[in-house]
Amino acid sequence: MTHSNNSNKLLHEVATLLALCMEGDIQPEQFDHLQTLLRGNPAAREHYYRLLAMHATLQETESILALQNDLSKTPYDQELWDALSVEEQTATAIEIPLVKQPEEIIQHVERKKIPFAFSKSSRFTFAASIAASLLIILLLRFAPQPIVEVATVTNSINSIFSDNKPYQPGTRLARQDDPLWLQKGVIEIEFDYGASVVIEAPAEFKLNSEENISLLSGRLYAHVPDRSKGFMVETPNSRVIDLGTEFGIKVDFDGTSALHMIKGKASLFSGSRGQTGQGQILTAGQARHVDSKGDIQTIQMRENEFARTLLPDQGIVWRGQDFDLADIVRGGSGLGTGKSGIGIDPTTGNSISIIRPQDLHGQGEYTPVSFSPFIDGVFIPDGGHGPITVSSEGHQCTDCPDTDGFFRYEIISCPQMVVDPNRYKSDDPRPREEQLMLMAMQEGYPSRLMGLHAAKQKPGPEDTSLLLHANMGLTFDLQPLQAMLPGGKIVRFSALFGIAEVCPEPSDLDLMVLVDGRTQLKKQDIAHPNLVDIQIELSESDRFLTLMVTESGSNSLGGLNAALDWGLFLNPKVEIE
Amino acid sequence: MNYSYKELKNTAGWNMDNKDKLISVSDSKSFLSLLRRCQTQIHTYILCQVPNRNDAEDILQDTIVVMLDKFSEYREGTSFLAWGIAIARNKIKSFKYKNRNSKMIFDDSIGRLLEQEASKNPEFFQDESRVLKGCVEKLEPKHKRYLLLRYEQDMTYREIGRQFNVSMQAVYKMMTRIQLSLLHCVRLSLQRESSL
Repeated sequence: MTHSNNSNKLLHEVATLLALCMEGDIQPEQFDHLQTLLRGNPAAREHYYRLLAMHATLQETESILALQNDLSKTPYDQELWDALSVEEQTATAIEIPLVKQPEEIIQHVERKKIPFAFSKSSRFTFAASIAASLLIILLLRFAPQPIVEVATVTNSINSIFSDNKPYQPGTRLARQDDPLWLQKGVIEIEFDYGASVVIEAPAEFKLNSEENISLLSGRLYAHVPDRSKGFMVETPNSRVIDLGTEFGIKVDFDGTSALHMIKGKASLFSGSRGQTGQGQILTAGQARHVDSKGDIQTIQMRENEFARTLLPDQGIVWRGQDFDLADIVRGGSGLGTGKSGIGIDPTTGNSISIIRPQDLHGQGEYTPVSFSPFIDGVFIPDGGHGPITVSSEGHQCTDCPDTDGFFRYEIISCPQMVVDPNRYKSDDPRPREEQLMLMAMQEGYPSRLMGLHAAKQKPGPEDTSLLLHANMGLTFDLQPLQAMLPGGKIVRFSALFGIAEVCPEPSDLDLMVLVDGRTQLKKQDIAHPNLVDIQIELSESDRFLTLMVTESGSNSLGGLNAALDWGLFLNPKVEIE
Repeated sequence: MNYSYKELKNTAGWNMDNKDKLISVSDSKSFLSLLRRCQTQIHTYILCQVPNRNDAEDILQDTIVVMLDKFSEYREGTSFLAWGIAIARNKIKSFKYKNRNSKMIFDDSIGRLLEQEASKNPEFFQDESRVLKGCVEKLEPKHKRYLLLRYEQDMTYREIGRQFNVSMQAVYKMMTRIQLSLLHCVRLSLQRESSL
């Protein structure tokens, strides 16, 4: 064998071993062999280094391949291949491990065929050479851009695209040359490398690869798990490279963009690909705007601006906001969708739409609620005869106060508080509270209630409240709430509690908050102007959250006093992180 | 951490006599243009030590993030490449430590031998990227398509196989053939240039 043949053989061997190594397919014995070659053979090292350098050059130097897209015009150098075939014939065979194609389909997914897109030049060539059938066959084989599927539609709510195709969940999406225009609705797309994005109409975007998307206009929220670090969103004037995070990007029609970091960190570069620009690393809570000149400015973070998770069953999107328990009592999902009712009858567990003024007595039984998956049940607490049940799973409250079982009205959600506490008339001889109470009654009591006696801040239209007269108890089921949000975690229950301002001042009451039957908070003799700032930490394993308002045992007026015990939870929220 | 030029020169032992050695930094805007000039070399350096494309790209990404993060510490007048390589070296070290039980990690002696290989021809990268473009142009369209899928679309050999509906063995064979033809072409072109 000649020297040249030996050299070719070595070159071929090194190239194949390197390729196996790069692709992660190399076997241990092949790896050892490569190490031995590199350690002991300078020629092998030289070949190896050259190949590596070429690999990096092809990878990093965009212009080398970027200008090669028009493939039909380029010359084909037969001489080059002839030279190579000689090398190849003299090369040794290297075993390439047979790797089984992995089972891709875990569950049945309907895959959508996307028609081949021809490049401009190949279309022209195609038409010009229509007669030459042989040539046509060759062109068909080589000219079309390969269809590379890179992502799957995972959720969609009322989404309509300009091409009128139905992008149902399960639809596979290919890399595109032309952008998709989402005209209506919201869509969630999961990339094959693990990142997922929620895009809200109106938006124009283009999938570039399994880890790259261009957002030309509109709003996009990205969830990027650790294993998919490096996911990139390109906009007309910036690029965001994710480092394992969640963030939202908004691109305006003038091409300027804004990045809001919700979790983790990412690097932001101004300027489009290939242009020089500024670079910054953003961490959670920071937001930046990139203007038309490519300058980066700090802006106010907006946490709830982006649709983050789609809840197609409810037909709604989650924007990172907390769950409002007052909305759940109205029959909603906690995101402002409750419209059907205004409260719950504490004896039947039914949703009510009219408040019936009534003074009743209950027996302390636990009544399951069926109209909302998020409410487990209701009860009239009376601990005088021992522990009482506070959940459908039989959790018991052992330190429930002894009450006379009296209650008034129902469990009421007050969506808005529009009775202005300052509207009372100073020339009216009746006390302010009484005036307000009467006013509220006249105006459709009690949906147009109410703030707290002592709250420093006047409630606004954004605030909500939940009214529990003594003696009433209500248990929420947190499990279905948690299940709706695979990306979020319930961490806390919070509310401000006190005496409703329509209540005459001598009133006082007791408050208990329980989690799975365990007492987390017990406050007695709460009277004007006391306020309780409730902050109960919750973990993923916590399921039943019980709120219980009872008459204060300390008051000598007994039942008469209980008739005035309006406990109000201002902004009762289950907080999500 | 600040790196003095001397420290960097000593630590790198790399392609230090590159023309890009002395770069003045006026402001942070220059980061990307500096990076573009030496990213290929940093990538090659990482590949020499960690010859798996995904691992190498992860390390490169982490390196760039640190470079960007510490860009204010980069000292004007020193070699940006050497500074980047010093950062990459730390990243490689922690990668190797994390994967110390893997059998597929080169021992350090090979990395050093390859660094020597690199220092033989400091002009290599400029020369190569100049002639490589011409060589790619000479390829048959189909073979160019393979390169585009591999380097532009970042597809694995397995994905390329699926794309062309051929076995993985066929892709290995084809890619090796293409790379060797390019290597051959680069050599030939450089020889022709020097004989002119």
